[in-house]
Amino acid sequence: MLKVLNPTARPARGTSGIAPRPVSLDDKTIGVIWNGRAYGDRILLEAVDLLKQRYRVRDVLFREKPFLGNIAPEPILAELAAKAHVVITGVGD
Amino acid sequence: MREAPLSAEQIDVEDVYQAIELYYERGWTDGLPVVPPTEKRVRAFLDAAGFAPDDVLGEIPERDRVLRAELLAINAVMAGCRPEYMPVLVAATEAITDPAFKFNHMASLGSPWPVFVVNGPLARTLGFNSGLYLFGPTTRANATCARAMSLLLWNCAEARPDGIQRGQWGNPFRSVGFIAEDESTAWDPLHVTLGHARETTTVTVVSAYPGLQQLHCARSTPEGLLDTVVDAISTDEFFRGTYLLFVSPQHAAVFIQHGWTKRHVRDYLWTRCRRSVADLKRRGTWGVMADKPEGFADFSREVQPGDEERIVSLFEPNEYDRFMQAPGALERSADIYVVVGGGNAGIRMAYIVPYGVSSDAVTRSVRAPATAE
Repeated sequence: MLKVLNPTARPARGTSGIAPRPVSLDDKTIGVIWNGRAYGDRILLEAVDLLKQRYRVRDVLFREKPFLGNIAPEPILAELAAKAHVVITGVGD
Repeated sequence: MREAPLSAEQIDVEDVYQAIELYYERGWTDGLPVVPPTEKRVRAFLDAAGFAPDDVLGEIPERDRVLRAELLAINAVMAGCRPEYMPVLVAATEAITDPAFKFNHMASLGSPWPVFVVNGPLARTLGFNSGLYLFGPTTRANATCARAMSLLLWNCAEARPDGIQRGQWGNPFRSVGFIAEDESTAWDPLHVTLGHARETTTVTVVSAYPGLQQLHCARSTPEGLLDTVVDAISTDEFFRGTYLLFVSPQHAAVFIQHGWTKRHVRDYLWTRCRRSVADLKRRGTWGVMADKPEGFADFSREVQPGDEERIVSLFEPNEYDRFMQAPGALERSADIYVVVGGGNAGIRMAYIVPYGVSSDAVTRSVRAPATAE
């Protein structure tokens, strides 16, 4: 018999996970964070247009990160946390 | 005094072979079998570096992970390391968790991965290869330390293909990117050029795109040797950052004979790696790395009159940076680190293209193990 050790690390604060999903986006405010990469704005706005076709979206807050390698500045995060019901973001080229 | 307990879950297995299979089943290995990490072996690794299990070596805020000494020791055992490698691995872990190195870039489509260069006396004591077949496989130290860092991030930061690793081609440096410099020439070794004492052991980490470019440099003057490198780097990806240039002792002797230091080599490349706007447009590179290039009134991907005469420097800040460099790269450091290695019969130089968009090179000293009280 041998005892061996688990080599993995769990999240230190254990707060990661998927936020609750709204049943509908009717009368909801959608936040969007664009990472600044070329054409990412087009894809995100296209996604917003599709959502607008399906739901009576109240408002769209489109915000751009200054640099893709950093998380969004605190004022943007605070604004979207306060005003938006959902936020769409992504990375990539 | 009672030993501090380990935090890791302990799992019962019948024997070594069942242990090896367990790590495959749980996705805790990189495709190769591991050395089963037992508490006794892990404690030997911690003792070798003078660490308690819970000592924090670094944090990865993007993954909400804290890298404790115990986790490094477990993954180093699995990789096949010897306990005496631990102080070097600790410095390597501190380097990649330095905010300047910026962990999250390693998820990039470009598959960047850190290359580690060990300098100083411990590199020789521990048997790191700096000679022939530099990127191996060669020695246990090179191979297992590279794998230890790979497994550490695989298991503790989700840096694996079913986690956050989103690179397109992958990066062989995960297996072989841990080397030493040949410090036998009259040149100052890398760590001395960076301000460290010669008798200090250091680990320098540079985020590297996959692959080593080797160049047949057959001329016998410093300029003649380096013009081959200038041409190659200028026609490569044209990404600004800290390049690693590998020079054989045989070539180093040519430079030294002509009174050239590593700084002379660096400056020669720094000022001469250039390309015309027309070249960059024909290659399809113009504006690719810049964000929102169409927003610039004078942006055009077609060759315009005068583009042949417009010269873009790779390293020196210039008026074309907004078309050629990612915005983040302009805020990061750039350099050319000259490293001697590869054996004494080499007429080839080699270089590594860095990922400089959001990562800086970092050097950390290896601390002597704390004395047990």
